[in-house]
Amino acid sequence: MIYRVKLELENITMIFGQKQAVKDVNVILHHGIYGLLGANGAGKTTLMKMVCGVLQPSNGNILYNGKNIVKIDEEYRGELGYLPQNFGYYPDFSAQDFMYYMAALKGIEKNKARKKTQELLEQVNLRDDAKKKIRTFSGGMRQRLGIAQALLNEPSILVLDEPTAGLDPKERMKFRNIIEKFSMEKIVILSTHIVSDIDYIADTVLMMKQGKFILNMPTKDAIDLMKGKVWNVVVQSSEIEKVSKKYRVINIQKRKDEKISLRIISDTEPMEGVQMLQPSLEDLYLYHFQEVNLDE
Amino acid sequence: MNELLSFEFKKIAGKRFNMVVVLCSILLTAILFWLPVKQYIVLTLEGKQVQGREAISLEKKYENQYAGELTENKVKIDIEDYQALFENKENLSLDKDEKTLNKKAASRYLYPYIPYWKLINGVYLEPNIYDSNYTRIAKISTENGIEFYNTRIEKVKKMLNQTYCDSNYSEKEKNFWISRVEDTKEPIIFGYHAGWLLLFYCLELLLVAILAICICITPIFSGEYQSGADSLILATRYGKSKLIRAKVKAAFLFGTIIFALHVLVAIIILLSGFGTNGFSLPLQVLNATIPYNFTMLQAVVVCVITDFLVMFGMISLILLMSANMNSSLPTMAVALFILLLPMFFGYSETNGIWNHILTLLPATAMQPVWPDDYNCFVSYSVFGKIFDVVSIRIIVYVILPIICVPLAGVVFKRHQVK
Repeated sequence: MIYRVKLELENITMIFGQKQAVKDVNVILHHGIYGLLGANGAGKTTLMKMVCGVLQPSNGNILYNGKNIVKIDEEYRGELGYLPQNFGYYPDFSAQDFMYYMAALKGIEKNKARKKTQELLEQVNLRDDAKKKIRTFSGGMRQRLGIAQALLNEPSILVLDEPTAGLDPKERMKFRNIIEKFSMEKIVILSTHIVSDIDYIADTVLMMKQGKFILNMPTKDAIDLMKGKVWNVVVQSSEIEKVSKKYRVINIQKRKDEKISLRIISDTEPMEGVQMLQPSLEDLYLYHFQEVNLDE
Repeated sequence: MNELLSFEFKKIAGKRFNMVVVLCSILLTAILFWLPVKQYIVLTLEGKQVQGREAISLEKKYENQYAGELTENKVKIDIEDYQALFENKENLSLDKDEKTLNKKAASRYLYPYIPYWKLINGVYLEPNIYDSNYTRIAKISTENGIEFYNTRIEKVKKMLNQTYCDSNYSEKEKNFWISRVEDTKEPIIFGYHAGWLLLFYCLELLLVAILAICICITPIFSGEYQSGADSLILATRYGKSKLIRAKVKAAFLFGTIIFALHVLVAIIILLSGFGTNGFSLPLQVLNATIPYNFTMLQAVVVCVITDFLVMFGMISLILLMSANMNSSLPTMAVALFILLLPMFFGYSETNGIWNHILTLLPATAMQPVWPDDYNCFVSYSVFGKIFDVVSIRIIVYVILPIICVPLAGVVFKRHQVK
């Protein structure tokens, strides 16, 4: 199969002082949406910064369509759209000015930039606020503006670090639609703590733990890994503590009959009379990242 | 205007804080240059003090009394007239051992014309001698001519051949300065020049403008790091190339506009009070030994150009520091230290190297050398060639941006968003 875009990460390592934030990461990405999952400090943001060329890896190479991104420099960044986590903004700029400024930085021709700005501000529901200073914006509005600027140059590689942070459910749904529509023939790397966002739109899940990829597979296959590991256990409320000590409990629900329904993860059937459940991506995430001290 | 440049300019000029800083510094400059007009004091022939514009118009009248070419003959006649004052006992002060004019005579014949008598008397004084009563010319013989222009050359030679505690002149330097003085135009044309003299004294106050500019542009790179916008802009196509050029251009454009505004305010206020009369007079009306062949106007232009270059030098230093630091505060502190350093460390009596360095620091480099007897003769030997202090200041502040600006660009380009 011939891919229009290909991003290769070869032995990427990042060391900050004594700490190895990213350890020898190797991955090849083609078009599609990649959901980057991992706990805080797993190395997701560091990896994204390296992909975007704002942080030089301590070791390894990143290749875009076979060419080292350091060598092709501007050509590569011209294909890039990036929404950093907690990005800085210019409080004295209006949303429109900010978009024009970013367009100028991305080398977009003036008339095209004007047109694209209107279009994107409309998409992220900021058209009526286009002339307002960013200092007056709420966190969610700034985030939407950040998403809009990332899409300005119609990038081949779109890197979004926590893009849905601060967005309400309706805005999150709208964001997912924008990204889905946008992702044709493009690489979208999306990192978020809101697992359901990835569940909805990611084609592939990349899971990071302690600076390494522990999982790299299609979302559906990743969820399938949890088949036979998610159970529903009905217990008395007095038994919750006992079960929690033995199993990974990921949800507790009170039933009408005063009993408690527990969603637990276990490699084997935990007890008799339990019901096997359809797994979700969140189960997979918690399977790997929920910190619990279980009695052996 | 280039789009990125206009945005970067807007980032600097559009900040409320920067607007307040610039407005305050313009206001302060206006006050500082208006005070000499307001507080200018002249004595009337009756010894009464007048102030402000009235004093200035009186000063014009007095200085124009001796206006014209200072030929040997004219100076001789004036000296003889001056000496005649000392022949009349009614003009003399009785309570002093030396023959000096009493208060009434001094008010009538000396004080109103001090710029003229200071110039003439100064030529006949030995180097390092200060004569507050202007009595030296009362004692010289005029019988065989007064040798006004030869005497000034001899004075310069004496000054250059003296032994100093900090540093002495080399033979090359002596020849350089003697030929410079010999090259100045003769005869000196005298006239009213108070406005230009005051400009020379006040031009260093433009340091206020440089300080304001430095404060405004300090966050140019570090502000991006501080706000977290660095990750956004450095990941764009032109974030590591055109953006840097736009930032540099915007800083220099902002500096140029704001500084020019300050210069205009300063010069317009001062010269609207004192008038532009005397713009074509040679610098030697201040001191006959000045080794620079400039008119007053040319000298002010040279000073303003030097001040602009000092400002450019400071901008380039700020750019370099700003690219290197993650916060604007330390950049601002270092800039303040560099700007105000000469105010805390004076000239040394024994260390010539320090004095030569101090003369080049921003605050001192903004002080015109002309009104000062000795700073006029500061020279630097570079690869066996002698340069006067004015040229060296210009060279230093042209070189500084050439070194600092590309370095700042490289540092920003290599910045790592951690």
